[in-house]
Amino acid sequence: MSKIQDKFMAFLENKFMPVMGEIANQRHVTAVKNGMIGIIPFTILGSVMLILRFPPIDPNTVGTDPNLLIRMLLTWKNWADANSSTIMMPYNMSMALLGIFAVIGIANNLAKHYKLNQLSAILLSLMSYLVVTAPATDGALPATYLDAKGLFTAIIVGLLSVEIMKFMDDKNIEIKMPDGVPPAVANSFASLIPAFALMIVFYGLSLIVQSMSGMLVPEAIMTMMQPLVGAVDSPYGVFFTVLLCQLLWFAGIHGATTVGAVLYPFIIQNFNINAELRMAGESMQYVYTRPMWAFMICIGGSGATLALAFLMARSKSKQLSSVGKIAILPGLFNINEPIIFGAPMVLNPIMFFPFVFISPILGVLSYIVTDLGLITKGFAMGPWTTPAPIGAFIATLDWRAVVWVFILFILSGIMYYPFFKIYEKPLVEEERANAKAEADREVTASA
Amino acid sequence: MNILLVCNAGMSTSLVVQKMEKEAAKRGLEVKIKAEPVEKFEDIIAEYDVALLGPQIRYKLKPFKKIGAENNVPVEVIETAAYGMADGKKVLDHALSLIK
Repeated sequence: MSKIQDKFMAFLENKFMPVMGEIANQRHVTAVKNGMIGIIPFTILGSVMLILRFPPIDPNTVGTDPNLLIRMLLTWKNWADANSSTIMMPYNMSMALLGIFAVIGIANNLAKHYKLNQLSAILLSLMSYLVVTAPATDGALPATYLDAKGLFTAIIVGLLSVEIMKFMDDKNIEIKMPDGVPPAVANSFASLIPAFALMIVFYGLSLIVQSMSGMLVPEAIMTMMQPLVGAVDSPYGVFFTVLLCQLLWFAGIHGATTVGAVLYPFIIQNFNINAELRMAGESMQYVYTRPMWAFMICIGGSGATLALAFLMARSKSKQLSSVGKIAILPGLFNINEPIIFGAPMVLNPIMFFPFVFISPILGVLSYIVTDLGLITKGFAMGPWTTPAPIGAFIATLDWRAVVWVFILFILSGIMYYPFFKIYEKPLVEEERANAKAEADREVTASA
Repeated sequence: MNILLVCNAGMSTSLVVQKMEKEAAKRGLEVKIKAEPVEKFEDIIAEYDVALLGPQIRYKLKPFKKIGAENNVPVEVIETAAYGMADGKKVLDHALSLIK
């Protein structure tokens, strides 16, 4: 048994970790990841406006004699209904233009990696994105696919346009000025050929797709991605993505960032589309969302270790109790490196099962409970460092989600407990033996 | 002396920075210690004398070592246990040992 265990640990450390490290370092993955980080402020700003627009109150369930709080919420709701378009303008100009911000961030990051002119790259990729996503009609840009529905398009166009610029740069395809022309003047011609080339490629692509399918490129991409989006938004999708994240953490790699580089576009898109649907008064579509990940699956950080931090803080083992005490405060804000590296969880065979499997289990349970309609689907998102119950409330404006977070917290504590006890026992004995040896030595010394 | 600590978002590492600053003050050392997110590394590394990475971004060591070498800045990974326990003394000693 222990031989198999050793082999597995060696596999994780020598094979799994380097390969996943390579993937996490891969330039396109990094560019997308940083692009996704760049859009966070806009989703938070939009979320604040959504909350302002949808006070957590349903007039149909209010009794005949509402109390002061309910009456205040009703006043708020009436005000929000009356001023809907004014309140939603900041949302429409931030969260609802997510694709634009994403393509800029992604192009900027990839251009930086290639040491291309970043401003040219941003401008050219934005042009490419707009021509496929929002071809102007009657003097207005249709905004339909400039939001999260255009997120995958933004990723593809952002990466592809910079790759084309890089290709042209490598092959020295540019307008050459005769010697004696000042460099600043020569540079002003430098992005001319890429501009034409990118317009031809992306406008051409758009025309071909439109004539073949009658769809705009982002619509076609959405249709193509639909099976994958559906597969991610399922109990299996939740289980395996969270499991992979935890395996990475177990091997000592930042799992959330690594898995997130691929996963976040999906679950960010999901809650953004939910927001659009909610605004339109339609029923929300997606269950697996970024806020579900942050505030239900990762209570206290990856692996849902907050309950474990409390268990450890009360431990008889000095090592565990000092780690637990350090870990509780950051854990409330979903940061848990002290536990992961201090307990440690990394490559700790006793903690393998709870650390790797509790989060996926919490995820599947949350998926089922949300899918059954027992809690509202997520459509807004605060910073991921928001304490879990508050973050879950902001995401859903549903008090049942808060109750659910506390249930998950207790569940994770119950599941961690037996493993924690097994891990704690030898540590306590060892510390006791050490203390005794110390005391004996002192006695001998003084005698 | 400028010490740079790098982790994913610069958050968990800021905990270690606090402890290191306390330790440095105790020894009367003139050091500036900062925690920064991983994507800023390349832009700011030249301003520092040494850089330490959080163990969770160990996979960045190779590329960052290279960039560090171009700027004459030693780059290493913080020892896992010292990081987890937010052991400011150990991490500070580690950083100082690399500068000399």
